[in-house]
Parts: sequence; structure tokens; C-alpha cells
Amino acid sequence: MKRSGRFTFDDVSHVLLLLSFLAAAVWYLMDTLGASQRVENILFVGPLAVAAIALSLYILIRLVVDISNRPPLGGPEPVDPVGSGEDVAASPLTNFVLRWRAAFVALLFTLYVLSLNTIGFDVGTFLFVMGCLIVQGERNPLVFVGYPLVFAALVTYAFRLLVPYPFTTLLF
Amino acid sequence: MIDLTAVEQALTILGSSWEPWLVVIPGLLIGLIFGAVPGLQISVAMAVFLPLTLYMDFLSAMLFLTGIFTGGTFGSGIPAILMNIPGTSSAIATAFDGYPMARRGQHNEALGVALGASTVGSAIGYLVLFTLISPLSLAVLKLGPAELFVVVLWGVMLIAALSAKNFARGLLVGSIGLLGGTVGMNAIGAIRGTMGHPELLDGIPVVPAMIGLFAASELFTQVNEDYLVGKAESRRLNFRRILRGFVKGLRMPVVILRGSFIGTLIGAVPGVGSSVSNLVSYSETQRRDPDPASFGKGNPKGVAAAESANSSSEGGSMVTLLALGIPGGGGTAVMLAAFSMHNITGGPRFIREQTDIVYSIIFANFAQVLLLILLGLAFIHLLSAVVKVPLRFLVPSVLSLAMFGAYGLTGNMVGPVTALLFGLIGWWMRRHDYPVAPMVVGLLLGGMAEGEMLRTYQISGGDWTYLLERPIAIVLLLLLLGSAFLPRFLRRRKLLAAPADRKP
Repeated sequence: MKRSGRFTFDDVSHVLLLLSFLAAAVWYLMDTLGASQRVENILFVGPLAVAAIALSLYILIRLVVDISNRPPLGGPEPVDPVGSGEDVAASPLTNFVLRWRAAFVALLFTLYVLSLNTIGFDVGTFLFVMGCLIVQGERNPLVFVGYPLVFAALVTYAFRLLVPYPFTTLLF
Repeated sequence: MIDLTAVEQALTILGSSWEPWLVVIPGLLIGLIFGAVPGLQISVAMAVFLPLTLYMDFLSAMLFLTGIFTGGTFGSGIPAILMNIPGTSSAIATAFDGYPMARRGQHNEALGVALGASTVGSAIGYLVLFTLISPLSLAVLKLGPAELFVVVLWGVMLIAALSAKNFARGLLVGSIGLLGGTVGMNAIGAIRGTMGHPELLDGIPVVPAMIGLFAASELFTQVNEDYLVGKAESRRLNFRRILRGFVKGLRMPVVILRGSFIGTLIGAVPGVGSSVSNLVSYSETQRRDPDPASFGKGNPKGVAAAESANSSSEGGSMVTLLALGIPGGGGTAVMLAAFSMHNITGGPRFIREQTDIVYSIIFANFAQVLLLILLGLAFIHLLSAVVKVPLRFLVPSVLSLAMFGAYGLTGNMVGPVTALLFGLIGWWMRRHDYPVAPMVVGLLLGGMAEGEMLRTYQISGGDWTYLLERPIAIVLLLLLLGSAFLPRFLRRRKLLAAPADRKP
């Protein structure tokens, strides 16, 4: 992982996470106060949101202090594949795939969920499972087409029997 | 305390006809399947199959539903151990040590320990129900909103203290979870945090959020690995090792008894039940163990503590259902619906007038425990096969199943979208060592905590000295503070003392 100054990519991501918690707590407190300022409305949420804000700031300050006290490093660090935590000594392409594989699967999952109502649970599931198989290294076309096909058909059929609500499908 | 005539009548009812027994095995199997499939819930299984009970007499209906309940409570521990996905909130603590055991190739033992602890816990819960149903129901009535509020806070505090190396991080995500649990319209009609989406008026759907935080975020981190269990020889399914784990589970009588006692007691508290009892039991077992640092890394005692507590909670929740007519959670709420379908109202009068039926339900549940051992052994052997499935198949398959389950829970896209959002948040949190469990428990109990605090405020008229008149609440509060801060204080003192000890 390349370091820019003292902050690594992970540090930036960690700071952003804490800022997101902080922003969420501040926004929720303001929204609660905007909804009603009666004691009954803020009795629980008020002190809890203040505690969450204080905790976010405390952890954020400690994090920034820790980073500032860390000796600066110039060179590249060993690659830490996203989500695996393992060191990998391989070609740049392999490193890139390993590093971003979890992000690809997360992206596929996002597209899958957001498209379910449009392309249906059956086709969506087929495409998602097939995409994941390819991203995760399956190279046999019979497998990466056949398995998703059977899986999507079976699951869609089973859930149609079990779940009492109608859900969008294109084929089954 | 025990009506011997009613005991005799109950045995006659159960022995005179085989008809009530016909529904027990299907009930247990349905519960095992629904509990073991991530995204499907025990309460959903009970609700789906509730209409069938219309064609049964009351006793058969109750045996069928308690069968689903018993099977489901154990079943929810199976994905918690094998995939770090608690089937329900009652199996959260099961994953703490069960999953590390599975990752070490000890999935057979972990499942065996869970089954042993679960069956004994369930039997103890019903034994307590049998002997103490009247005094327990009176004790539950003495718990007011102040006590319930402290119990809820205890649950969140414990989980924050347990699952984070850094307590502040655990508390932070627990607080964010509690805030998330209050989203929607509150008791005075104020609408908060919905961003104008009417779907959120009833709050954030907790189970889809739990699926996202636990399952999706964990699966994202697994995509670079080949199997759940790394070593090929560790992936072998071994019935003997499951049996060995089962026996090992039974050889932890203190852990199981403590867990069962905690489970029954907390299970009797409406609305809290098994969601909190498994955490309290786990925490107590860790606190009292000579090697607390081994917990969270695959200590079988952690699995036994959690499973005995969540299974015995069933007996506890039946106390409030039968004696007071109050459902303790989703499962008992469906049972209450079965009560009304058969024109029966739970309460002291029901206990007094139909003691034989109450005892029949309890005795049949003892038999269910024995059947669960047989079915469980066969079923977990089958399910252990999941460790043999390459992760490139398992990850997308489980994620898809969870999305179908999330949709089934809400009946619209709110479920899958919630699971997606919380999955991404959970993944981000995991990357920076933030525990996801406190957020789940916070989401689960936030609304209840606010409601109980509000009721306390209304009863006391805003006078906080009212708490001094509630000795149980004060004791619970001291226990909460003690269990959350005392271990940390002692550990810090030990660390500070350590260098001094080494001096000549």
C-alpha cells in the first residue's frame, strides 16, 4: 500500500468511518430536536447521541495522535489484499485482483440488490452468482453458467412456495 | 407448588393417544431448517405454519409450535458456528467461539457441544417452568420499566465490552445501534430519522440489518479464501467427533447450569428473552473462567454458555405466555395467536383451570428434547457438509439466500436494501476492527430501551429519586456497571502491577 505522507489508505478510510459515525449522530440529534423538543422525545436519544458524538471525537483524536506519532515511511508497504489480511507476493495483476476482489463482490452485490425489482429475483440471482464465480476465479464455463442456472431456479421456486408475498421474476 | 393430580392427568392425556405426538417430529424438523437457513426466522416458520394448527386440537397445536421453537433455537446456532451468521439474535454469542472453532477445523466438536448444551438447557428451562411456574410469574410481574430498561442497557453494555478489544469502539457502535433502533415514529408521534421514507416509520428492519452486518460483511472478507476451513483434513465430516463434542458439552455442568439458570430467568422477561440471555451467560462464563483470554478464540465453554442460555430461555418465555398471557418475543407472539385461534386466554386462571394441559405441554417438551438429540445429530452431520463447499460457491449462494430471506421478512425491497446497506457498513467496520455485534444488539433493543425509559419517566414524574425505591433496578444497575467495568479495572491493575512484580 502506498503511503502519502503519514496517512495510509487505511488511515483515511478509518478517519472517514469515524466521521460518518459522528455525522450520523449529529444529524440524528438535530433531526430528533427538529421533530419535537418535548422531554419525551429527547429523553433517551439526546444523551445517547451526545455520548456517541463524544466517543467518536475521542476515538478520532486518539487515532490522529497515534498516526502523528508514527514514524514517517517512504517506501511501499507489502500489499494487504482487501479483506484477507494476507501478504501476497505475486504479479501486479494478481495483487490487483486479490486486493480488489472483495470490493468487486461488494459492487456486484450492490448491483444485484438494486436491480432485483427490475430484472427479477431469478435472473438477478443467476447473474450475481455467475459474476461472483468468475470474480472468485472459476474458469469452467459449464460450472459458472450451469451452477447459477440450477441454483437460481431452485431457490426462486422454493421461496415462491415458502414466502407469502409476490416477488418480481422474469422467467420462473 | 406441583399439582400431582394434574401431573397424573397430563401423563394420561399424553399416553392415551399417539395423535399429539405425530406433529412433534415435523415441528422440530421445520424449526431446524428455518433456524439453520440464514435469513429465515423461527417466528417466520411459526407464522407460516400457524394456519395448519387450525386443524389440530390445542395440545397438538402447542406441541407443533413448541417443536418448531425448540428445533429453531438450536438450528440458529448451526450457521453461527459454520458461517459466523447467527440464524437469530439469540445465537449471537454462539458465533463468538463457535466460528473460531469451525475455522480451526473443530466444527464437528462445536456443533456437538452446541447440541449437548442446547438440549440440556432446554430441559432445564422446562423443568424450572414445571416446578416454579406460579412464583416465577409473580416475580416477573414485579419487574417494572425501570428494571427492564437496566436489563436492556446491560445487554448492550455487555456485548460492547465483550466483542471489542477497544471498549470505546464497542460502546460507540453500540450507541449508534441504539440510536438506529429508535428510528421511526415514537410513542408521542414524533418522526425521527426516516429521511421522508414511510417504510422506516416502523423503524429499521432489524433482521435484514442483522443479516447484512453479520453475514454479508463477513462473506465479503472471505472472497480471497478457498474454504471456510483451510486444512483439507480438518474439513472431514466425522460423526464420532460430533458425538465427542456432544459428550464434551455435557461435561460442562457448571457452565450449562449457570447458562440455563440465566436463560430461564431472563427468558421470562417479556421482550428481552434469549437475545440478551445468551450474552449475559457468555459474559458470566468468561468472567469466571481461569482463562478469560481464550474466549472469542474458540473456547467450547463459550458455545455451551450461549446455547444453554438461549435454549432455556424458551422455558422462561413460556412462563410469561402461560401464566400472564404476555408474549416474550416473536415466537411466543405466534403461540399467543394459536391460543386465540383455539379460544384460550393465557393467565393465572388458565394455569389454575387447565393445569393438566399446561403440564402436558411441559412433559411433551421433555420428550422433544430427546427427539432433538436424535434429529440434531442426523441434521448437523448433514449440514456440516457446508465446510466442504468451496467459498466461491458458498459466498454468492449464501448472499442470494439471505436476500430472498430479507425480502420474505419485509415483503418488499426494504429488507434487501437494508441488508445491503448494513452489509457495506459492517464490512467497513470490520476492516478497522470495529465489532458488529454491539450495533446489532443496539438496533434490536433501542426501541425497547427508549420505551422503558419513557415509562419510567412517566411513572416517576421526572423525579429520579424514584430509582432509589426500586431495589431490583439498583442491584441490576450495579451488576451492569460491575460486569462492564470491573474486569477492565482488574486487568489494568494487573498490567500495572506486572512490571513491579518482576523487580528483584
